[in-house]
Amino acid sequence: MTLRNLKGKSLIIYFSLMLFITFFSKTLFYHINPKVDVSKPLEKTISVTIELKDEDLSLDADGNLYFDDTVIAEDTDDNDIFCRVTCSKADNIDVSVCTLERKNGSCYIVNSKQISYIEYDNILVELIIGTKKRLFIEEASVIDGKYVYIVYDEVNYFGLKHRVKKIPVKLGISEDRFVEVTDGINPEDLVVTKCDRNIQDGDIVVLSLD
Amino acid sequence: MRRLTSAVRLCFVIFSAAIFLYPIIWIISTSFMGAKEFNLRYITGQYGITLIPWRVTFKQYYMLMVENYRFFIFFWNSVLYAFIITAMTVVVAVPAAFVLAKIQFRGRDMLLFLYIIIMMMPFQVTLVPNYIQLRDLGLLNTIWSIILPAAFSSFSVFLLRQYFLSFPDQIIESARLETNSVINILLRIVVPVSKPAIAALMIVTFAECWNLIEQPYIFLANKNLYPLSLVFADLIKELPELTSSAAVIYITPVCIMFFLYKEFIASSLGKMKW
Repeated sequence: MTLRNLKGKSLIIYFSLMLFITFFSKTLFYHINPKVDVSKPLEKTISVTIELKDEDLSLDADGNLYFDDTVIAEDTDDNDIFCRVTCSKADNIDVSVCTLERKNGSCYIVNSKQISYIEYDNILVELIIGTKKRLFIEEASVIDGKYVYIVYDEVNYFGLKHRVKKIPVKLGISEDRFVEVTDGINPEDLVVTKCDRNIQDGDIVVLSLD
Repeated sequence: MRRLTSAVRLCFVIFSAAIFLYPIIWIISTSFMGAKEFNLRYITGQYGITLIPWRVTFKQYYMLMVENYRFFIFFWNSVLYAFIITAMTVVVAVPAAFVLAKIQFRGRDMLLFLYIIIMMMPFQVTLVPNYIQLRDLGLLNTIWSIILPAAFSSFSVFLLRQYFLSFPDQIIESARLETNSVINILLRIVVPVSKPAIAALMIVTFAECWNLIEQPYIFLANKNLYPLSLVFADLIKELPELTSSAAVIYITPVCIMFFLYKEFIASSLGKMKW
């Protein structure tokens, strides 16, 4: 093909090229950009407990168990507190659910069975003072033990794109294959759980669901 | 003295050319600039304007055509409008112009006068009546709201009529001996001979339709029907670093057309009777 022929066909070449790019740009977009699996953090309701051990507890002359009521916040209603007492003596373990009664700056544990705690070797009191929602993510989502990638939407004139953002997180307890995130993410965030190649902060990604 | 005059003329020509070419060269060079450099130069203003980027990159084109592949919706909308309007304009304008130039009938001059009046009117004057008409026909927010008003352009009829005036009457009279059908004479004699003028009309119409702004802005509410010409205003606000590459893609077909067919346009316009 001579240069003159090429010049004559340049308009056809231009539109053919644009047609070609149009057909392949979407495929290319999905092929070039990393494909990621995402999930929202699991929200679990967990009890907020205060554990009282022997050194925190006292016994009065009648064998009643009590502790300093400064342990519990002043505005906490005693009726909302769930109290579980685990007593052990040799091989015998006794677990009982009790109520609390405040008297002269002390908080008495009232047991319906009227057990005398003097007989027991070890006593553990668990005060469940409320519940708290905590976020759990898959352990595989955590990078270097302190980062996660979350996916955010970028909307512009040409539509919606997904990008990833690397954010530091504080981790809490682990449960099964999940780990608690105490700080860094919100319940509505989409956390990257799996990725088919390495990603970096700000990369455009394709969601596996798309 | 003559040398001095030529030198001054040359300087004037170079200066004028530079003024006209600078924005185009700037757009082309900026389209090969990285997004970071673009932001530093033209958004934050930390560096000055340049024609030579630090690093030549096709990243802008990649971002525009792959990362924002929906750009092509607007591109092909422009192509669709331009091609359909150009084709319909030719279909409408050729017979109309021929009749106004070569067929004698009562009220012809009055009709021509009306054409010229409509042609001379600013486009904005007919915008509201057009809008009301299209609304009543239920064509608003469809591609036909762009295509139909543009296809029946009085300028195209006038332009071709001026060319047909220069067409020798003797040829038509000779053809009349063979056939009485005006359509046959038009299609078999006039159109083949007038190809350069029709081509020139097509190029002018294509360029005009490629640059439509007001009509789509007024008649279309659905952004997915917008032509590329209308996208630039929003593009500058949202993705300024992609404006240059989009502009290069946008101006390319019209530039190619001009460079390919500039002789056509010049010779056809030269033959027209004014």
